[in-house]
Amino acid sequence: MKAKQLSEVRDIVNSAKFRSWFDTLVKARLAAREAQLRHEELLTQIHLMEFRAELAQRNATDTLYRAAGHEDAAAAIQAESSDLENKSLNLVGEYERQRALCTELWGAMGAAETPDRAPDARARKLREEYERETAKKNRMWEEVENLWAMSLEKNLAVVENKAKGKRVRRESETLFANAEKANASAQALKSDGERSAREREKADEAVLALMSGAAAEFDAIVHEDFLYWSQRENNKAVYVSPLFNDSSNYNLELNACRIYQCSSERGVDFLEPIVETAVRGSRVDTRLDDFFVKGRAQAGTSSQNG
Amino acid sequence: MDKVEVLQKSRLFDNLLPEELEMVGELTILRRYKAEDVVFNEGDVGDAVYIIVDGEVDVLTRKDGADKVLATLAAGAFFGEMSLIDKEYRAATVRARTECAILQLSNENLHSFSKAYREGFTWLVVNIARVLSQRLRDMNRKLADRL
Repeated sequence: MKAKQLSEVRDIVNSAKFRSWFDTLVKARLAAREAQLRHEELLTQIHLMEFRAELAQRNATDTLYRAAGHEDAAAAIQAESSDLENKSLNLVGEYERQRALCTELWGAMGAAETPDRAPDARARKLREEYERETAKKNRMWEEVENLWAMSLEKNLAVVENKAKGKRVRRESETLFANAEKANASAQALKSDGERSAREREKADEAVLALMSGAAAEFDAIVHEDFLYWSQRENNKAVYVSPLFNDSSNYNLELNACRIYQCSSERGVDFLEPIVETAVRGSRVDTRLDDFFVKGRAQAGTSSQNG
Repeated sequence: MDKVEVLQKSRLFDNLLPEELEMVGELTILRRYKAEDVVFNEGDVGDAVYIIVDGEVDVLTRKDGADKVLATLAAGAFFGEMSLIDKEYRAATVRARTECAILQLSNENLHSFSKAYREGFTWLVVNIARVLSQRLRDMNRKLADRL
Protein backbone atom coordinates (compact mmCIF):
# COMPACT_ATOMS: atom_id res chain seq x y z
CA MET A 1 0.00 0.00 0.00
CA LYS A 2 1.30 3.43 -1.00
CA ALA A 3 1.15 6.39 1.40
CA LYS A 4 -1.51 8.86 0.34
CA GLN A 5 -2.31 12.51 0.46
CA LEU A 6 -5.59 13.67 1.94
CA SER A 7 -6.92 14.58 -1.49
CA GLU A 8 -6.24 11.04 -2.74
CA VAL A 9 -8.02 9.49 0.24
CA ARG A 10 -10.87 11.89 -0.24
CA ASP A 11 -11.12 10.91 -3.93
CA ILE A 12 -11.26 7.24 -2.94
CA VAL A 13 -13.90 7.68 -0.22
CA ASN A 14 -16.04 9.97 -2.35
CA SER A 15 -15.84 7.76 -5.44
CA ALA A 16 -18.96 6.01 -6.74
CA LYS A 17 -17.06 2.72 -6.56
CA PHE A 18 -16.39 3.18 -2.82
CA ARG A 19 -19.97 4.28 -2.11
CA SER A 20 -21.33 1.29 -3.98
CA TRP A 21 -18.89 -1.03 -2.16
CA PHE A 22 -19.90 0.45 1.19
CA ASP A 23 -23.63 0.10 0.43
CA THR A 24 -23.06 -3.53 -0.54
CA LEU A 25 -21.03 -4.07 2.63
CA VAL A 26 -23.78 -2.60 4.82
CA LYS A 27 -26.32 -4.90 3.18
CA ALA A 28 -24.01 -7.91 3.42
CA ARG A 29 -23.32 -7.23 7.09
CA LEU A 30 -27.01 -6.85 7.78
CA ALA A 31 -27.68 -10.13 5.97
CA ALA A 32 -24.86 -11.81 7.95
CA ARG A 33 -26.26 -10.47 11.22
CA GLU A 34 -29.75 -11.67 10.33
CA ALA A 35 -28.39 -15.07 9.31
CA GLN A 36 -26.52 -15.27 12.62
CA LEU A 37 -29.65 -14.39 14.61
CA ARG A 38 -31.73 -16.90 12.63
CA HIS A 39 -29.16 -19.61 13.21
CA GLU A 40 -28.90 -18.88 16.93
CA GLU A 41 -32.68 -18.89 17.23
CA LEU A 42 -32.84 -22.27 15.47
CA LEU A 43 -30.12 -23.71 17.71
CA THR A 44 -32.12 -22.60 20.72
CA GLN A 45 -35.26 -24.22 19.32
CA ILE A 46 -33.36 -27.46 18.54
CA HIS A 47 -31.98 -27.69 22.09
CA LEU A 48 -35.40 -26.95 23.50
CA MET A 49 -37.09 -29.56 21.32
CA GLU A 50 -34.46 -32.20 22.12
CA PHE A 51 -34.88 -31.49 25.79
CA ARG A 52 -38.66 -31.71 25.44
CA ALA A 53 -38.37 -35.05 23.56
CA GLU A 54 -36.03 -36.45 26.22
CA LEU A 55 -38.34 -35.33 28.99
CA ALA A 56 -41.41 -36.80 27.25
CA GLN A 57 -39.57 -40.11 26.68
CA ARG A 58 -38.55 -40.30 30.33
CA ASN A 59 -42.06 -39.42 31.44
CA ALA A 60 -43.56 -42.03 29.09
CA THR A 61 -41.21 -44.75 30.42
CA ASP A 62 -42.04 -43.83 34.03
CA THR A 63 -45.76 -43.95 33.21
CA LEU A 64 -45.39 -47.35 31.54
CA TYR A 65 -43.69 -48.68 34.69
CA ARG A 66 -46.57 -47.24 36.70
CA ALA A 67 -49.11 -49.06 34.46
CA ALA A 68 -47.20 -52.33 34.87
CA GLY A 69 -47.25 -51.76 38.64
CA HIS A 70 -51.03 -51.50 38.65
CA GLU A 71 -51.36 -54.61 36.46
CA ASP A 72 -49.02 -56.59 38.76
CA ALA A 73 -51.00 -55.44 41.79
CA ALA A 74 -54.24 -56.56 40.10
CA ALA A 75 -52.76 -60.02 39.41
CA ALA A 76 -51.52 -60.38 43.00
CA ILE A 77 -54.87 -59.37 44.47
CA GLN A 78 -56.64 -61.68 42.02
CA ALA A 79 -54.57 -64.58 43.39
CA GLU A 80 -55.45 -63.62 46.96
CA SER A 81 -59.12 -63.39 45.98
CA SER A 82 -59.08 -66.88 44.37
CA ASP A 83 -57.47 -68.27 47.50
CA LEU A 84 -60.22 -66.76 49.63
CA GLU A 85 -62.85 -68.08 47.24
CA ASN A 86 -61.44 -71.63 47.56
CA LYS A 87 -61.30 -71.36 51.32
CA SER A 88 -64.91 -70.20 51.45
CA LEU A 89 -66.07 -73.11 49.24
CA ASN A 90 -64.32 -75.63 51.53
CA LEU A 91 -65.85 -73.97 54.53
CA VAL A 92 -69.34 -74.06 53.01
CA GLY A 93 -68.86 -77.84 52.55
CA GLU A 94 -67.84 -78.21 56.20
CA TYR A 95 -70.77 -76.05 57.24
CA GLU A 96 -73.24 -78.28 55.37
CA ARG A 97 -71.87 -81.32 57.19
CA GLN A 98 -72.15 -79.47 60.51
CA ARG A 99 -75.73 -78.48 59.70
CA ALA A 100 -76.61 -82.15 58.99
CA LEU A 101 -75.04 -83.16 62.32
CA CYS A 102 -77.07 -80.50 64.16
CA THR A 103 -80.32 -81.69 62.45
CA GLU A 104 -79.52 -85.23 63.47
CA LEU A 105 -78.88 -84.17 67.07
CA TRP A 106 -82.09 -82.17 67.06
CA GLY A 107 -84.04 -85.31 66.05
CA ALA A 108 -82.37 -87.44 68.72
CA MET A 109 -82.97 -84.74 71.34
CA GLY A 110 -86.70 -84.59 70.40
CA ALA A 111 -87.03 -88.36 70.87
CA ALA A 112 -85.25 -88.30 74.27
CA GLU A 113 -87.24 -85.38 75.73
CA THR A 114 -90.97 -86.19 76.34
CA PRO A 115 -93.39 -83.76 77.95
CA ASP A 116 -94.70 -86.29 80.48
CA ARG A 117 -91.40 -86.81 82.30
CA ALA A 118 -88.38 -84.84 83.48
CA PRO A 119 -85.30 -84.96 81.20
CA ASP A 120 -82.88 -87.67 82.14
CA ALA A 121 -79.10 -87.66 81.87
CA ARG A 122 -79.08 -88.83 78.25
CA ALA A 123 -81.54 -86.17 77.17
CA ARG A 124 -79.45 -83.45 78.97
CA LYS A 125 -76.28 -84.72 77.29
CA LEU A 126 -77.96 -84.66 73.87
CA ARG A 127 -79.16 -81.05 74.44
CA GLU A 128 -75.66 -79.93 75.49
CA GLU A 129 -74.16 -81.64 72.46
CA TYR A 130 -76.78 -80.08 70.21
CA GLU A 131 -76.14 -76.59 71.61
CA ARG A 132 -72.35 -76.96 71.29
CA GLU A 133 -72.54 -78.19 67.68
CA THR A 134 -75.10 -75.49 66.79
CA ALA A 135 -72.74 -72.82 68.17
CA LYS A 136 -69.93 -74.33 66.07
CA LYS A 137 -72.17 -74.34 62.99
CA ASN A 138 -73.03 -70.63 63.57
CA ARG A 139 -69.32 -69.73 63.94
CA MET A 140 -68.58 -71.55 60.69
CA TRP A 141 -71.26 -69.56 58.89
CA GLU A 142 -69.86 -66.32 60.25
CA GLU A 143 -66.47 -67.34 58.95
CA VAL A 144 -67.95 -68.13 55.52
CA GLU A 145 -69.57 -64.71 55.43
CA ASN A 146 -66.28 -63.08 56.45
CA LEU A 147 -64.44 -64.88 53.65
CA TRP A 148 -67.07 -63.76 51.15
CA ALA A 149 -66.75 -60.12 52.32
CA MET A 150 -62.96 -60.28 52.03
CA SER A 151 -63.23 -61.89 48.63
CA LEU A 152 -65.63 -59.19 47.48
CA GLU A 153 -63.21 -56.47 48.62
CA LYS A 154 -60.34 -58.15 46.77
CA ASN A 155 -62.41 -58.56 43.62
CA LEU A 156 -63.30 -54.88 43.61
CA ALA A 157 -59.62 -53.96 44.09
CA VAL A 158 -58.66 -56.27 41.19
CA VAL A 159 -61.09 -54.54 38.84
CA GLU A 160 -60.02 -51.09 39.99
CA ASN A 161 -56.30 -51.86 39.54
CA LYS A 162 -56.93 -53.41 36.13
CA ALA A 163 -58.86 -50.29 35.02
CA LYS A 164 -56.13 -48.02 36.39
CA GLY A 165 -53.45 -50.09 34.66
CA LYS A 166 -55.29 -49.72 31.35
CA ARG A 167 -55.72 -45.97 31.80
CA VAL A 168 -52.05 -45.40 32.76
CA ARG A 169 -50.88 -47.59 29.87
CA ARG A 170 -52.93 -45.45 27.47
CA GLU A 171 -51.36 -42.35 29.07
CA SER A 172 -47.89 -43.76 28.52
CA GLU A 173 -48.76 -44.53 24.89
CA THR A 174 -49.80 -40.88 24.39
CA LEU A 175 -46.57 -39.76 26.04
CA PHE A 176 -44.48 -42.04 23.85
CA ALA A 177 -46.27 -40.61 20.81
CA ASN A 178 -45.53 -37.07 22.06
CA ALA A 179 -41.87 -37.95 22.59
CA GLU A 180 -41.70 -39.34 19.09
CA LYS A 181 -43.34 -36.20 17.71
CA ALA A 182 -40.89 -33.99 19.63
CA ASN A 183 -38.01 -36.10 18.33
CA ALA A 184 -39.27 -35.75 14.77
CA SER A 185 -39.60 -31.97 15.26
CA ALA A 186 -36.05 -31.81 16.65
CA GLN A 187 -34.78 -33.72 13.63
CA ALA A 188 -36.66 -31.39 11.26
CA LEU A 189 -35.27 -28.37 13.12
CA LYS A 190 -31.79 -29.88 12.92
CA SER A 191 -31.96 -29.98 9.17
CA ASP A 192 -33.25 -26.36 9.20
CA GLY A 193 -30.35 -25.57 11.53
CA GLU A 194 -27.84 -27.12 9.15
CA ARG A 195 -29.31 -25.13 6.28
CA SER A 196 -29.22 -21.94 8.32
CA ALA A 197 -25.59 -22.66 9.35
CA ARG A 198 -24.70 -22.90 5.66
CA GLU A 199 -26.56 -19.64 4.95
CA ARG A 200 -24.73 -17.98 7.83
CA GLU A 201 -21.40 -19.23 6.56
CA LYS A 202 -22.23 -17.95 3.10
CA ALA A 203 -23.25 -14.54 4.44
CA ASP A 204 -20.03 -14.31 6.49
CA GLU A 205 -18.01 -15.29 3.43
CA ALA A 206 -19.72 -12.54 1.41
CA VAL A 207 -18.67 -9.96 4.03
CA LEU A 208 -15.13 -11.35 4.12
CA ALA A 209 -14.90 -11.27 0.31
CA LEU A 210 -15.99 -7.63 0.28
CA MET A 211 -13.47 -6.74 2.98
CA SER A 212 -10.56 -8.53 1.37
CA GLY A 213 -11.48 -7.11 -2.03
CA ALA A 214 -11.44 -3.60 -0.55
CA ALA A 215 -7.75 -3.85 0.39
CA ALA A 216 -6.75 -4.13 -3.25
CA GLU A 217 -9.57 -2.04 -4.65
CA PHE A 218 -8.93 1.00 -2.45
CA ASP A 219 -5.25 0.37 -1.68
CA ALA A 220 -6.00 0.45 2.05
CA ILE A 221 -5.34 -1.50 5.22
CA VAL A 222 -8.69 -3.10 5.91
CA HIS A 223 -9.78 -4.14 9.37
CA GLU A 224 -13.23 -5.17 10.51
CA ASP A 225 -14.42 -1.66 11.44
CA PHE A 226 -12.02 0.79 9.81
CA LEU A 227 -10.05 1.41 6.62
CA TYR A 228 -6.59 2.97 7.00
CA TRP A 229 -4.26 4.81 4.63
CA SER A 230 -0.72 5.92 5.55
CA GLN A 231 -0.32 9.66 5.30
CA ARG A 232 2.13 10.92 2.76
CA GLU A 233 2.30 14.26 4.64
CA ASN A 234 3.30 12.62 7.93
CA ASN A 235 4.72 9.11 8.10
CA LYS A 236 3.69 8.73 11.74
CA ALA A 237 0.03 9.38 11.02
CA VAL A 238 -2.72 7.61 9.13
CA TYR A 239 -6.05 8.54 7.61
CA VAL A 240 -8.94 6.50 8.94
CA SER A 241 -12.45 5.94 7.72
CA PRO A 242 -14.92 4.10 9.97
CA LEU A 243 -17.40 1.65 8.45
CA PHE A 244 -20.10 2.37 11.02
CA ASN A 245 -21.63 5.19 13.06
CA ASP A 246 -20.81 5.39 16.76
CA SER A 247 -21.76 8.21 19.06
CA SER A 248 -20.39 7.09 22.40
CA ASN A 249 -17.50 4.64 22.34
CA TYR A 250 -14.69 6.70 20.82
CA ASN A 251 -13.24 10.09 21.63
CA LEU A 252 -15.36 11.53 18.80
CA GLU A 253 -18.80 10.83 17.46
CA LEU A 254 -17.92 8.69 14.43
CA ASN A 255 -19.70 8.93 11.11
CA ALA A 256 -19.33 6.11 8.63
CA CYS A 257 -17.16 6.89 5.58
CA ARG A 258 -15.95 10.18 7.00
CA ILE A 259 -12.18 10.71 7.03
CA TYR A 260 -10.37 11.15 10.35
CA GLN A 261 -6.72 10.95 11.25
CA CYS A 262 -4.79 9.30 14.04
CA SER A 263 -1.22 8.57 14.98
CA SER A 264 0.08 5.19 13.83
CA GLU A 265 0.97 4.51 17.46
CA ARG A 266 -2.43 5.17 19.10
CA GLY A 267 -4.63 4.18 16.19
CA VAL A 268 -8.36 4.57 16.71
CA ASP A 269 -7.84 5.00 20.44
CA PHE A 270 -7.54 8.72 19.66
CA LEU A 271 -9.02 10.11 16.46
CA GLU A 272 -8.87 13.65 15.18
CA PRO A 273 -11.02 15.43 12.62
CA ILE A 274 -9.30 16.58 9.44
CA VAL A 275 -8.47 20.28 9.43
CA GLU A 276 -8.56 22.15 6.16
CA THR A 277 -5.16 23.87 6.01
CA ALA A 278 -6.34 25.87 3.03
CA VAL A 279 -9.09 27.46 5.13
CA ARG A 280 -6.75 27.97 8.06
CA GLY A 281 -4.06 29.74 6.13
CA SER A 282 -6.27 31.82 3.89
CA ARG A 283 -6.98 34.79 6.12
CA VAL A 284 -5.14 37.08 8.50
CA ASP A 285 -6.43 36.57 12.02
CA THR A 286 -6.60 39.89 13.87
CA ARG A 287 -8.82 38.86 16.74
CA LEU A 288 -6.09 38.78 19.38
CA ASP A 289 -4.57 42.02 18.11
CA ASP A 290 -7.98 43.60 18.33
CA PHE A 291 -8.46 42.31 21.84
CA PHE A 292 -5.10 43.19 23.32
CA VAL A 293 -4.04 46.23 21.32
CA LYS A 294 -7.21 48.08 20.42
CA GLY A 295 -9.68 49.71 22.77
CA ARG A 296 -12.10 47.86 24.96
CA ALA A 297 -15.09 48.68 22.82
CA GLN A 298 -13.81 46.56 19.95
CA ALA A 299 -12.48 43.78 22.11
CA GLY A 300 -14.44 40.57 22.38
CA THR A 301 -18.20 40.64 22.55
CA SER A 302 -19.58 39.63 25.87
CA SER A 303 -17.10 40.59 28.58
CA GLN A 304 -19.18 42.33 31.20
CA ASN A 305 -16.82 43.06 34.03
CA GLY A 306 -13.40 43.10 32.37
CA MET B 1 -29.26 19.08 16.69
CA ASP B 2 -26.77 21.46 15.13
CA LYS B 3 -23.74 21.46 17.41
CA VAL B 4 -22.28 24.65 15.95
CA GLU B 5 -25.52 26.48 16.65
CA VAL B 6 -25.39 25.33 20.28
CA LEU B 7 -21.72 26.28 20.67
CA GLN B 8 -22.33 29.73 19.20
CA LYS B 9 -24.75 30.48 22.03
CA SER B 10 -22.20 29.68 24.73
CA ARG B 11 -19.84 32.36 26.14
CA LEU B 12 -17.11 29.76 26.13
CA PHE B 13 -16.88 30.05 22.37
CA ASP B 14 -17.25 33.82 21.90
CA ASN B 15 -15.18 35.13 19.00
CA LEU B 16 -14.44 31.70 17.51
CA LEU B 17 -14.47 31.50 13.72
CA PRO B 18 -17.00 29.27 11.94
CA GLU B 19 -14.36 26.68 10.99
CA GLU B 20 -13.11 26.64 14.61
CA LEU B 21 -16.64 26.10 15.88
CA GLU B 22 -17.04 23.41 13.26
CA MET B 23 -14.00 21.56 14.58
CA VAL B 24 -15.03 22.00 18.23
CA GLY B 25 -18.39 20.59 17.24
CA GLU B 26 -16.70 17.54 15.78
CA LEU B 27 -14.65 17.14 18.93
CA THR B 28 -17.67 17.06 21.25
CA ILE B 29 -19.78 14.09 22.17
CA LEU B 30 -23.46 14.48 22.93
CA ARG B 31 -24.35 12.87 26.26
CA ARG B 32 -27.88 12.43 27.52
CA TYR B 33 -28.79 12.31 31.20
CA LYS B 34 -31.99 11.58 33.05
CA ALA B 35 -33.05 13.76 35.98
CA GLU B 36 -30.90 12.90 39.06
CA ASP B 37 -28.11 11.37 36.93
CA VAL B 38 -24.69 12.53 38.09
CA VAL B 39 -22.48 14.09 35.39
CA PHE B 40 -19.45 14.02 37.68
CA ASN B 41 -18.75 13.90 41.38
CA GLU B 42 -16.83 16.23 43.63
CA GLY B 43 -13.29 14.81 43.86
CA ASP B 44 -13.37 13.13 40.42
CA VAL B 45 -10.47 13.70 38.05
CA GLY B 46 -11.50 16.55 35.76
CA ASP B 47 -10.92 15.60 32.15
CA ALA B 48 -13.59 17.47 30.20
CA VAL B 49 -15.62 20.61 29.93
CA TYR B 50 -19.39 20.43 29.41
CA ILE B 51 -21.81 22.67 27.53
CA ILE B 52 -25.53 22.35 28.26
CA VAL B 53 -27.63 21.92 25.14
CA ASP B 54 -30.94 21.34 26.80
CA GLY B 55 -32.25 20.96 30.36
CA GLU B 56 -30.87 22.06 33.72
CA VAL B 57 -28.16 20.84 36.08
CA ASP B 58 -27.45 21.54 39.74
CA VAL B 59 -23.94 22.29 40.95
CA LEU B 60 -23.71 20.80 44.44
CA THR B 61 -21.26 20.57 47.25
CA ARG B 62 -21.42 18.37 50.32
CA LYS B 63 -21.64 20.24 53.61
CA ASP B 64 -22.37 18.68 57.03
CA GLY B 65 -23.47 15.47 55.33
CA ALA B 66 -26.00 17.16 53.08
CA ASP B 67 -25.92 18.37 49.47
CA LYS B 68 -25.99 22.14 49.08
CA VAL B 69 -26.93 23.59 45.70
CA LEU B 70 -24.40 26.24 44.72
CA ALA B 71 -25.94 27.05 41.37
CA THR B 72 -28.40 25.82 38.77
CA LEU B 73 -27.24 26.00 35.15
CA ALA B 74 -29.38 25.93 32.02
CA ALA B 75 -28.95 25.66 28.22
CA GLY B 76 -25.93 27.58 26.90
CA ALA B 77 -24.06 27.46 30.22
CA PHE B 78 -20.86 25.48 30.59
CA PHE B 79 -19.19 23.81 33.56
CA GLY B 80 -16.13 21.75 34.41
CA GLU B 81 -13.80 24.40 32.99
CA MET B 82 -11.89 24.93 36.26
CA SER B 83 -10.23 21.52 36.13
CA LEU B 84 -9.17 22.35 32.59
CA ILE B 85 -7.09 25.25 33.88
CA ASP B 86 -5.81 24.13 37.29
CA LYS B 87 -5.72 20.33 36.75
CA GLU B 88 -7.25 19.85 40.19
CA TYR B 89 -9.98 17.39 41.12
CA ARG B 90 -13.59 18.40 40.63
CA ALA B 91 -14.58 21.05 43.18
CA ALA B 92 -18.28 20.22 43.07
CA THR B 93 -20.74 17.56 42.00
CA VAL B 94 -22.91 18.24 38.95
CA ARG B 95 -26.23 16.44 38.81
CA ALA B 96 -29.00 16.68 36.22
CA ARG B 97 -31.99 18.55 37.61
CA THR B 98 -34.11 17.66 34.58
CA GLU B 99 -33.56 15.46 31.56
CA CYS B 100 -30.48 16.94 29.91
CA ALA B 101 -28.52 16.93 26.69
CA ILE B 102 -24.93 18.00 27.26
CA LEU B 103 -21.95 18.32 24.93
CA GLN B 104 -18.77 16.90 26.40
CA LEU B 105 -15.42 18.23 25.22
CA SER B 106 -12.53 16.23 26.61
CA ASN B 107 -9.20 17.79 27.52
CA GLU B 108 -7.50 15.52 25.03
CA ASN B 109 -9.82 16.60 22.22
CA LEU B 110 -9.29 20.21 23.24
CA HIS B 111 -5.58 19.61 22.79
CA SER B 112 -6.31 18.51 19.21
CA PHE B 113 -8.17 21.78 18.74
CA SER B 114 -5.23 23.77 20.17
CA LYS B 115 -2.87 22.14 17.65
CA ALA B 116 -5.15 22.90 14.73
CA TYR B 117 -6.31 26.40 15.72
CA ARG B 118 -3.88 28.23 17.97
CA GLU B 119 -5.78 31.53 17.94
CA GLY B 120 -9.12 29.83 18.41
CA PHE B 121 -7.75 27.95 21.40
CA THR B 122 -6.31 31.18 22.84
CA TRP B 123 -9.78 32.72 22.55
CA LEU B 124 -11.29 29.77 24.31
CA VAL B 125 -8.82 30.18 27.19
CA VAL B 126 -9.47 33.94 27.25
CA ASN B 127 -13.21 33.19 27.47
CA ILE B 128 -12.64 30.84 30.40
CA ALA B 129 -10.42 33.45 32.05
CA ARG B 130 -13.15 36.06 31.54
CA VAL B 131 -15.71 33.89 33.28
CA LEU B 132 -13.35 33.09 36.13
CA SER B 133 -12.42 36.75 36.39
CA GLN B 134 -16.06 37.75 36.55
CA ARG B 135 -16.68 35.20 39.30
CA LEU B 136 -13.71 36.59 41.23
CA ARG B 137 -14.98 40.12 40.90
CA ASP B 138 -18.44 39.04 42.08
CA MET B 139 -16.90 37.35 45.09
CA ASN B 140 -14.75 40.39 45.88
CA ARG B 141 -17.83 42.55 45.74
CA LYS B 142 -19.71 40.22 48.09
CA LEU B 143 -16.75 40.14 50.44
CA ALA B 144 -16.50 43.92 50.42
CA ASP B 145 -20.22 44.16 51.23
CA ARG B 146 -19.76 41.92 54.26
CA LEU B 147 -16.75 43.81 55.66
